[in-house]
Amino acid sequence: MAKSENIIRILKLPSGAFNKHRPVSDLLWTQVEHLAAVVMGMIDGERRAITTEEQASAFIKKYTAFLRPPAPGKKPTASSNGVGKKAAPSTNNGAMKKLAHSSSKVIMKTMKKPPRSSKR
Amino acid sequence: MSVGLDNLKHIVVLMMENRSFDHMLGALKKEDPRINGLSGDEFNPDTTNMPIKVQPLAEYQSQLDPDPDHHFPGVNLQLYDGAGGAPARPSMQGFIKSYFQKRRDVDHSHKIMYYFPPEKIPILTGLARNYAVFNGWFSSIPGPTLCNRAFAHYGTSFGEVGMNLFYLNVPYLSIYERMLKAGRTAKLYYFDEQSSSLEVVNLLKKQPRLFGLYEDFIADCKKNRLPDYCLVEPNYSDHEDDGGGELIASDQHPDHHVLAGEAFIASVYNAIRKNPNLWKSTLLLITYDEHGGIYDHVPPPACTPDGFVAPAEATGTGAPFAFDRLGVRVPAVAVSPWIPKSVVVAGPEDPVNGRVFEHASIPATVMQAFQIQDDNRSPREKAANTFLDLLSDQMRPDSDCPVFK
Repeated sequence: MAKSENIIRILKLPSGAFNKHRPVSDLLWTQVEHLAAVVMGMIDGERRAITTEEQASAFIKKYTAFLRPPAPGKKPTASSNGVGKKAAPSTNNGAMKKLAHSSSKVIMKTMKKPPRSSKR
Repeated sequence: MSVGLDNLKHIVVLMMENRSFDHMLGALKKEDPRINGLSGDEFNPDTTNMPIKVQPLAEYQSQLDPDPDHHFPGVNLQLYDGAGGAPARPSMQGFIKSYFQKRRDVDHSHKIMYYFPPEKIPILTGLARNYAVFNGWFSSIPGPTLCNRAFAHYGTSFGEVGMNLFYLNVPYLSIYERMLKAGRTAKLYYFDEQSSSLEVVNLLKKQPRLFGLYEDFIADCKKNRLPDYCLVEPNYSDHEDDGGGELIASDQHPDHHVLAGEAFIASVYNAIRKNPNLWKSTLLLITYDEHGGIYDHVPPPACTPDGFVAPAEATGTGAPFAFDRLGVRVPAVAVSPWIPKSVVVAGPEDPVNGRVFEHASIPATVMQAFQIQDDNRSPREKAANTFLDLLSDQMRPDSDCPVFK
């Protein structure tokens, strides 16, 4: 691979860099607003397209399931979890943990730490 | 056509957030005078009219808090210092005054002039030293994130100078749609579902096949499945994954930790670098969407008007904007083993050979690389410089190209 002088070290993040309680930025807030608008537009589009009882019942089922949390101990299924409640993909954790062991491991630390208080 | 261009199969763009050229790479001028960075004498007046010089005191986090203004009126103040405006040449003297408005603390406002010493950000500066750094890559609009990112996706923002992304019935297709239409492959990789894409309204619901997660990017690099063109989005927020693991924002948007972004850049580079097939056939561009309100000393130049005009009420400056001048300069580094070591692409400081680039250069370069003919593109994209000429006839040996560990 590269000569030893061509190895550049990735600097490590200090512990405590993670702060999930940081106040939301303008950028993230805009992203939230845009997603909300997309979802509302999709629901409205589905609503407007309804002309039959079958279509109405499918719409009602989908959004009733969305509003109703699964019974305790019952795993959500594709037919019951509706819009936006997708179960976590089973490959996600494995792939991300693998990533954590690669050169990008400082992006993610699997050790759970108590959150730091917000600076703002 | 160069041998490097002949071998080109993939273009990958990584677009980070909100840092200016001088803030990240300006210090490199001391070791390479061809780089149009900082001499150390650049200054801005503060609100007491004291001249405040640039200093190599940038910190990874907690320094640019609150977030510096980078909306259109704020950038206008940074460029013109409250004295007139376009078509005058920007003085670049209003950055401290703009940042003062955020906290009304004179000492704190000086921090907008701070820049990183190269050793604090070894990944970005390492890439700049080893491949090609652009002296003249500018954000497309003197404004915020989303309108600037739109230029990378569409070659225009369709007249928007703010965060409005609701482009309906637009006259031009995105570069991803154009690629698919031409029988090519293209993708936007976003970090994960919690971070998602900043291109949510227009493409996400219509074209889910255009999207993948960052873990897909890593897998696609390993398995030689990378599309012809892709844009990678960093993680935009600190959040936990499904297992409770901490995922730190890697976009470098203030006040996110800059080292997390460094690690992310290294991760993207390594994913390509470690696959020999991909390494010899991929051109990687790392750039930033806009300057985030942080000081840069190079006045943004004029450019080809975009055919749209943002009205005065949208710009917030009392004047309309014809998309006929660029935003503040941002870091941009092109990476490939076909690029000779330590290339500096001259910018506006060289009136003879210098070239100006902006985010519309991205779709323009992709169209050129894959020889897609489509005249239905924005005037800005049609006029944008491309950068395929950086690829040479000589592939550098593996031992000459750095690895990040």
